[in-house]
This record gives sequence, C-alpha cells and structure tokens, in this order.
Amino acid sequence: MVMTPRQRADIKLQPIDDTPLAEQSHAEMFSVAVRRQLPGFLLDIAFAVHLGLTVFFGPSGAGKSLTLQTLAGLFPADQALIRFGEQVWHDSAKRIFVPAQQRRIGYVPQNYALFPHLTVEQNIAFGITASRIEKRRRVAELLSLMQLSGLERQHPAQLSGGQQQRVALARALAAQPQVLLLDEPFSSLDAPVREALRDELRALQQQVGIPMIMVTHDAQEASALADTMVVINAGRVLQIGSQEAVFRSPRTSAVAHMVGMHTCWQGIVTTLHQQSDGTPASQQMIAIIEVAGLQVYAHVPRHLNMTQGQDIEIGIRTDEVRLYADSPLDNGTLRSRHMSVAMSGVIVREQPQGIIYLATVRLAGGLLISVPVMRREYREQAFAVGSQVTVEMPSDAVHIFESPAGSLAVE
Amino acid sequence: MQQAASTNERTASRPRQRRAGWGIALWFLGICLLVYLIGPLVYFFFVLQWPIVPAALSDPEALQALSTSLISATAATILMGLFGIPLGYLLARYSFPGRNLLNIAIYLPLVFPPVVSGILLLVLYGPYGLIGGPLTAAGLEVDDTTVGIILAQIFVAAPFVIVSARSAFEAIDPKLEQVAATLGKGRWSLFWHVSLPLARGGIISGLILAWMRALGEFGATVVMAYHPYTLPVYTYVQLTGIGVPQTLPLALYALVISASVIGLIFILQRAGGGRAWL
Repeated sequence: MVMTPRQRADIKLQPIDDTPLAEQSHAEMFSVAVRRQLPGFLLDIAFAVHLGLTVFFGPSGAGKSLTLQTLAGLFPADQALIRFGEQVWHDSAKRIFVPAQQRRIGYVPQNYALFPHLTVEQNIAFGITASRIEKRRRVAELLSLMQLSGLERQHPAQLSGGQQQRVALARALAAQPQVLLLDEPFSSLDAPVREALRDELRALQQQVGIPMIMVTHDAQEASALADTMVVINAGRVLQIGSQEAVFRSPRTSAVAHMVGMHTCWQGIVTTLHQQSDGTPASQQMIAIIEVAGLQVYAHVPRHLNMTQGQDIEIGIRTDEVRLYADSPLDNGTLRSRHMSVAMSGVIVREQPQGIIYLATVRLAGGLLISVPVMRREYREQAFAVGSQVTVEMPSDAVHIFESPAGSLAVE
Repeated sequence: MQQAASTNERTASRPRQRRAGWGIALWFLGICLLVYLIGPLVYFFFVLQWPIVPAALSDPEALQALSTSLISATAATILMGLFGIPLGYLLARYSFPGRNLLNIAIYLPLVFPPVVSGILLLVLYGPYGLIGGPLTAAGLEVDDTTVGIILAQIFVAAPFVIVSARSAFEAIDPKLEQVAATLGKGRWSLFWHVSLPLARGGIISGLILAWMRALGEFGATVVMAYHPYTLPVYTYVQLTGIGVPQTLPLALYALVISASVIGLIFILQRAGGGRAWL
C-alpha cells in the first residue's frame, strides 16, 4: 500500500511507555528526534527506546544507516534532539552538538572498515588511550573474548569475513563505549557463519551488558536479536515495539508486508460485541468482519475505536491458521464458541520452503491465503495442488490494522 | 558426424587466424615506438667520446650545476609536499565553492609551455614585479638565485604532488576516517594515523615524479633564473657554446639519475606489496 504524506502525518508514534516522554526518567532511555532534508529524501526519525538490543529494521534505502550515522555524530541533522540517558548529544534548538569523538560510541560500519595498514592487534588498540601495559592487557583480553588469539599479527586482508567482524567488534569495544552501533553486521557473511555470529552477538550483549543498536533489513535477524524493533521505511519510523509486537501486530499493512505478513484483506465491520467473563479486565471487544462474502472474527485492540459498518484492513497471522483435508463444515459456518471460522477452499499452489510447505488456498470468495504447513503434516494429510481443504481461522489469526485507507482513528 | 567435425574445425581456425593478425599488428606498432624511444639511448653510447668523459664530468662548473640541480629539486619537492599534500586532502575530502574550478586550475602548469610559466613568474617575482620589487629593494632578489630556481620548479612540478595526493586520499574509504573519529581520534590524529599512512604510496609516487620533473626543468628556470646554472641550463649553455661532442658526457648524469630513480621506484613498489604507484 502506498501511503500519501497526509496519511503518514496521521500516524502518531507511541513510545513504549504510555507516559509522555518528558515525564519519563531519561536514565535508561535513548530518545531521538532527527530531521534532515536530502535531495529527494527526507529523513524524519523519532523514537525513544529502552537500552538493550535495539534493531532498526527496514528495506535498503529506508534511512536506517543514515539514522545510525546521525546517532554516531557522523551525519549532521538539520534539526535534532538526541538524548542518551542523561546526556544530551545533540540539541539543535540549544545549539548543543557533541562530536563523534566525545560520544563514546562503538561504531561498526557495514563491511567493518578495518584499518588495512594495521595488524589485528593494532586495529584493536587503535581507540585505547591508556598506558602501554594497560593497552596490552586490554587487547589481550579482547583477543581472547572475541576468539582471535593467534591472529594478532595478521592484517585484515588475510582474515575471513567472520574474523573481520570479530576484529571490528573488538576494536569498538576496546574504547569502552557506552553503546555499540552496528550497521548490517552480518550482511557480508555466509549463512552458517551469520547464524553462529548472531548467537555470539546476543551472548556478547548479555556478557558485556552494553546497549546495542543494530541495523538490518533481514526480518529473521531482527526477530532473533531485537529487544526493541524500530521499523523504518522511506525516512520515517513506522512502528516501535518488541519483536513479538511488531511481528504479531504490525500497525499497518506496510509494516505487515515487511515482516512477512503477506495476506492482507479489506473488509467491513458488520457486528461488534463485548465479551466478558465478569471481571472488567477481561472485557474484550469482538468484531465480525465481512471480507469478500466471508466472515471472520477478530479481537479489537483496546486502543482502536471502531464502529459498525466501518471499512477496515486486516492481516492474517497465517501461522495460526490450520488446514484440514476433510471438509466437514458448511461454507462460512461460524463456530462461535471458539470464535473460529471454517471455510472451504482449494490448494492452488504449493511451495516447499525448508521444513515447511507453503500452501496457497483459494477460498470461496476468490480470496487467496498462503498457509505454512509442516512437511510431515502436509504429507500425512495427502495435500496436493487441487486438494479440497477446510481452512480454520481462529480470531487469534485475524489482526486489525490501525490505519486502513485513513478511516480508522488512532486513540 | 564428419560434417560436424569439419564445421567445428572451420569455426575454430577462423578466430585463430584473426587473432594472429591482431597479434602481428600489436607487436609491429608497439615495437616501432619502442625502437624510436630506445634508439637514441643506445646510439648515444656509440657516439660518446669516452676519453673526454672523466674530464667533462669532473669539471667544477658541471659539478656545481649538478649540485644546484639536486639541492633545488630536493628543496622544491619538500615544499611541494608540505603545501601540496594538504591541498590534495582538501580537494579530496571537502566541498567548497569553486572546488571544481580549482580541480581544473591545478592542471594548468602542466599544459602551459614552461617558458610562458617562466615569464609569468618573472613578471610577478622579478625585480620590477609586484612581489619581486619590494623584495629586491629589501636586498632579497628572487630572480637569478637558487630561490628563483626553486620557485620555477615548484610552479611546473606541483601538479604532480597535488593530483597524486588528491587521488590517493580519494581512494581511502571515508568510513575508515569515520570509525577513527568514533574511536576518539581528533582530526590531526586521524590524518596522521589513518589518512596519511593509507595514502602514502600515491603520495610518494607523486613526490618522486615531481622531483624528477623539477630536476629536468629548463624552460621556466632559464627565464626566471639563468644563474646559478642548473644541470639542464648548463647543458644548454655548453651545447650552444662548445658543441655537441663536448656536451654529450653531461647526458650521463641525467641517465644515471633517471635509472636510479626508476630502480628506486621499483624497489619501493616491491616493499609496498606490489601496489602500483606510477
């Protein structure tokens, strides 16, 4: 979905916490608002995250790396307010700008930028300002921490991609930074090395306890590593939240497509009703949504206002959807007790993807849905292209987007 | 089957013939130029009157000219490095109004006829020039001094230093300097520890080229500072004054210096890991 600028302006970003930013303690927060007009591109990023492992996620060209460089003090913004904990790094209104040299950050650019004329040892020691003995001690410590012992006198060109990455991390850590900024740290590595180093990075983050901000365009990497995800596209933040929140409840269909939720439908709210088992906390708004002649149930998130007859856009969490070979239910039957809907369809395409099959099913109304099925189950149920199947869609599988076609108010 | 084989043969042999023609053309044209270039050098050793060589080379005036040339070219090269390397860095790393114009302007001394360069210098720095006038009045003549020679050499040879330093700095990944900055290094420190070492090869090649150009400089020097004689000026004076046979031994100096410099570059390149500097 292409968003118009006006729609974008309607999206208000909520910090992780519901309290207004100004009232929050800055001690454990990284709060950033930067703006820079470039030829043909406006970088306008605002977010506040708790320290930990934050991932900037988005397609290439989204402005993730520029944002990272802005945090590092390497790419000046026209207007900016950057606060790291209690420190103010950039406040354009008050003309405060702390240069990169004084921010005490460890910056690891894409492709690592190791100094080609220096050995591994010299690269790591580059940022250490201490006595020679202390310097040597710290380099030795980092060499063993990053499993680089034995490579001290090698030059970067003699190292493998994984080793280069470790040297770059060691070099960044050597200067005892207060935060690590990593730009696509795994992009130039082969898949097995990448996964191993991803685990290592997670372990390192817990071991050293240093906050990290990492840029990636890889959804898997983001979900594997992020405490907090900042979803960025076209120079804007589209969503902030835990990886769980972003992957399960993307705010818009644009974010949904970025995180692999590709089944997005337009529908109309036909019925709204409260559901409760007595306590106020358990009160839940349930919507029945009509999509191309089919009906599905959905939980309405608390912060959305919704009215009957409203046009909305929904995304399907296809991992919650189940396929059955037999079709015992009538088309479109509501099984209201479980708030599940069963609908019949035909498998029109099958794509093997590692340990799963992606089965694309054409439903009665002509809608398509791609459901992941474990290989074993696929075989046991004797699924194939042309198979008649029943699709069971529980309300948990249906996610309501916050701003479809601009008609939904955000609280 | 047979037919297919013969077609194969035909298609295979045709390109080979064409390639043969290509090879002959390459070699023929290349050798023509090589013979022309090397011919005078080889012939020189046959016509040189060896008995007069020792006397000609140890002639005090010749030695004086040689030392003037070596000293002035070396001084000029140091000055070109001191001012030219920063200019190269400026052009490579900063954008400012007029940068493109400046990038073109630095090539001007290369394309000017050297005599014209000499005249332009004389007009400004000569005894009646805007800058030379006051200097002369203060007793600091520039023309017809070693300073004049150095000025002339810098004017014609500086582009080599500026251009090669600029290209060498441009070839450095800016990310390296950015990382150095985040590691707490200030501008001076990262220039000394990152930019300069990485640009070293290109800068050295530029300095060697500039030194050789300065050493061989004749046109601008002869206008700006006829005296004290540099080797090229002295050689010219000998040629016009005494004649070809007596001048020929002086060419030995030029040959020895040129050969040593080429050898030096070769050795440096080996030491620098085979990076091409020239």
